[in-house]
Amino acid sequence: MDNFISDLTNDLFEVDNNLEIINLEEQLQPAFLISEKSNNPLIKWQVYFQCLALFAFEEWLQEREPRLTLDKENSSTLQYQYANLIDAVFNLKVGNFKVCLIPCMLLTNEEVAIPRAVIDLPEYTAHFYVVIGVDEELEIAAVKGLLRYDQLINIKAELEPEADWNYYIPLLQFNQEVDELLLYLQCLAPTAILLPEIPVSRRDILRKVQTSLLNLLPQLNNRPLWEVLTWEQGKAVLTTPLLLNWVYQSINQNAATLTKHLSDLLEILSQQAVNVGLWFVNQIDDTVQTLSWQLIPAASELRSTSSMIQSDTSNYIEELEIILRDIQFQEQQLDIPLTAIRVYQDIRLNQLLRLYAVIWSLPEAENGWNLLLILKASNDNQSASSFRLRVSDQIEVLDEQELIISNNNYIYTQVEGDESDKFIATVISGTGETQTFPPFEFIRE
Amino acid sequence: MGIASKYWKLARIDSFSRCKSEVLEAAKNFFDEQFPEQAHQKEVSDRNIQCQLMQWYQSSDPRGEMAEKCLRCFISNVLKESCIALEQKFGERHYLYSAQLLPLVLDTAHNNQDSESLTTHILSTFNPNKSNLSTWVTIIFKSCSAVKQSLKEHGIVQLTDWTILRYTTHTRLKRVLSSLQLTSTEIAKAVKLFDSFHKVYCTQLSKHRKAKPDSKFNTTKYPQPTREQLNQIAEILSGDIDYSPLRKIISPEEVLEELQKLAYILRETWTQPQQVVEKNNDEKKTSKLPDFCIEPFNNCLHESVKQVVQTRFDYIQRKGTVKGKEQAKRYLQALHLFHCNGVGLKNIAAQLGFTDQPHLSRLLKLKILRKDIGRNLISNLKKYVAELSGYSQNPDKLVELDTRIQSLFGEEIDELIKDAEKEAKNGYRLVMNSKLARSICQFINKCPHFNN
Repeated sequence: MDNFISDLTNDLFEVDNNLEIINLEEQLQPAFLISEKSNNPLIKWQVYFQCLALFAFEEWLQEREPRLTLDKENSSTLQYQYANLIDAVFNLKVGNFKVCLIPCMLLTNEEVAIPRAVIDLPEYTAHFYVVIGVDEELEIAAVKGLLRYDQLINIKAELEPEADWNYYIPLLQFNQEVDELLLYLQCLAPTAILLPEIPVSRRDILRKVQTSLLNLLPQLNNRPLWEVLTWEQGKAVLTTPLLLNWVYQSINQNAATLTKHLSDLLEILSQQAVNVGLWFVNQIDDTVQTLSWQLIPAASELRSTSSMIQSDTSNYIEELEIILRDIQFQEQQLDIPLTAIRVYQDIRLNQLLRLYAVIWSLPEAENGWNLLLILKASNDNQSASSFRLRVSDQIEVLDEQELIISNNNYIYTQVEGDESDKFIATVISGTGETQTFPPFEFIRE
Repeated sequence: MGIASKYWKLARIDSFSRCKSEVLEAAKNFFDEQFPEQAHQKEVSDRNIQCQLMQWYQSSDPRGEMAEKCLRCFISNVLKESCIALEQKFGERHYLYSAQLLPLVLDTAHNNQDSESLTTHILSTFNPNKSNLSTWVTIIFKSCSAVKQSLKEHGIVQLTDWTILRYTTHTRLKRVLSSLQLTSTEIAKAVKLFDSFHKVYCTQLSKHRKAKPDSKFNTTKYPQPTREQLNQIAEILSGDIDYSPLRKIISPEEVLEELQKLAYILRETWTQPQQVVEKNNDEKKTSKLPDFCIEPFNNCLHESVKQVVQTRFDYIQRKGTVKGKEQAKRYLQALHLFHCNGVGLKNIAAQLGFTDQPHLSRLLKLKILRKDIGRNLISNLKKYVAELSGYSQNPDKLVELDTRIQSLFGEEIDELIKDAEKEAKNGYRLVMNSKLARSICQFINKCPHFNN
């Protein structure tokens, strides 16, 4: 009989009596549905467990102290670009406190893996780190342990992160009197636990690793970041939401298009954008000239000042006028107002090219603005060759046109944006030489 | 090797829900006739007997009907042993008794041909070439949803090898392996095995998450890998130079065995009981409440009792179902019996119709109730005192005060809780007389939900 008992019961566990069991029966289905929407099959499981931890915590608060309000609106788990790369539930708020949930196994006392991103990156730190044990097979969960930020930092001082960008901390080192969490949340002032400030400029970090990211990120191929990047490089990605988006998008998309956009996106992120909104209010001369754009007087001023304009400039004016008329003839809806700002720049990529930019605001749409870019060869007697003009914003490549030089032709592209948009233009020669211009943005003072 | 009587004694549930064993004479005679050399031995060769019985049962052999009877007897006996074994192991600590389990698994006097019967399910899924019947019975027994539910209610749960392997990550495995005395080749092989398992097993799992489990007899979400999956893993490993340097073909049986070994290692390291850290109690000073807290104390206590009991009451009936509402009402009744009338938990359970004391304890959650009342008391006092003293103007002072109140009130509350616990544990129970008990009692007496 003794053998029979031990064979029968060797995989049975006694749940720790001190654990307060949270029932998950009703949470399984919603958690499953959320995880199913993720486009990365490899992380569905991870998202599923994060959801269960989140819902278990919510249920626990609901039962124990419903006066505490849980704000999960911005929580990482419900935003796949975060859940994809960092396995914890962060950006979760209870009252004025930030709380980070760490999902782990309910029944065993394995070490707790905390992603270093939620400890080492001030963007994602929390006042409290809470270990949630989940057993989805039994449909139960429990709050297993707790560390305040200051306590965690002390423990971390003795630890090295593992190669997979996690700190592994024995459960024993967590405070298991988890009711204290409720006490803190209810009675403590958030100022009692100081969290590190987010550095003002993350752009410097990004600039340092920009080239390597352009090279490495397209090789990710669904592997975790830590297999491909150094932590310095990873830090730049993890603290840049637009790059997180890019990584998440890259899971199912065409690699070539995405790589093109990555190159533009990195430029947008690392370079200071030109606020063309300023060009409308006096400061034209300084900014335009330092960026080697040449201003063409506005059409409204043309008639009165035409005698004073030098002849080579007047060539550009005339050329642009003809092109604009031509474009407006082709596109009846396009109405370029007289107040539009016009600039040009001559560039040399194998051949001499000229890029015109025409910018105007949209009266009907508040904060709306338009950017029209025109590329043509500087003079007509050049040998036949081709160039491409590409425009991207933070999300995607918006347009790409090809110019085959002959007969004084030109290409153009027009984009419309609001204050949150940044547009970057790139000219690429047939031999692959590129010239990128600082991104345009339009912010009204 | 087993005992012959298992094949002709049938354990089943009588109309009073009790387990009865009876000798089936026809089955005994049949067994003695067919296995004369076994009948009088102390131990019999189960494997041979079961193979033979199954063969008759599954074919159109005239002996099939009697063979089925013998098999059913055998299954019923293993089920009964399993229930008793669980009681022996968990009865004392978890109030788990075989009397609760037996009716869940054994056939009753009437239903033995019922397709819903666990015995029928075991018989129809048993393959004598794969395992012996005894093992098969215990596997199905433990995955039966009624058994699982009952065990879960008593704080006992199953953790299978496959769950352990599924939950493990690459890095975790490496960390565990490197903490053991293993060579780097052994570690590399184990990691390779684990990675191939994940590649095959885990990508094919998500379909299991969707629907409810197939049947009430098999609720396992992480079943043993199928033959097909083991073959796939074996194929990956056979082609891997690191795993199989001599290009030896790895069999699916080997894969299964190695995976089980790996799960065993993980289980061992993760389920060692945690050492309990002794809390340093010296820090707690034995100072009394600050004077300005004494006056508001009683009011704040009543206020917290009201908040917390009401919250719990609302939570229990949150779904608005009839059952929930009844349960919430029973909650108030139980609290009342406990705090006002000094009735012990066991008697309350009987009086209010709970199946057993663990059920009632889960509803009452007395410790948690006290903790919540304590915490809300601090929260209420803090508001009150901060208002009085204008402490809220100065964050530093407020934090300082908060800490002080917490340590001071924490003690006062601890005393209350300790008192209540002492009373609760007393066999003969007197009417509770602590401030906390009186406050709870007072609140429930006035509570409209309790009085109508």
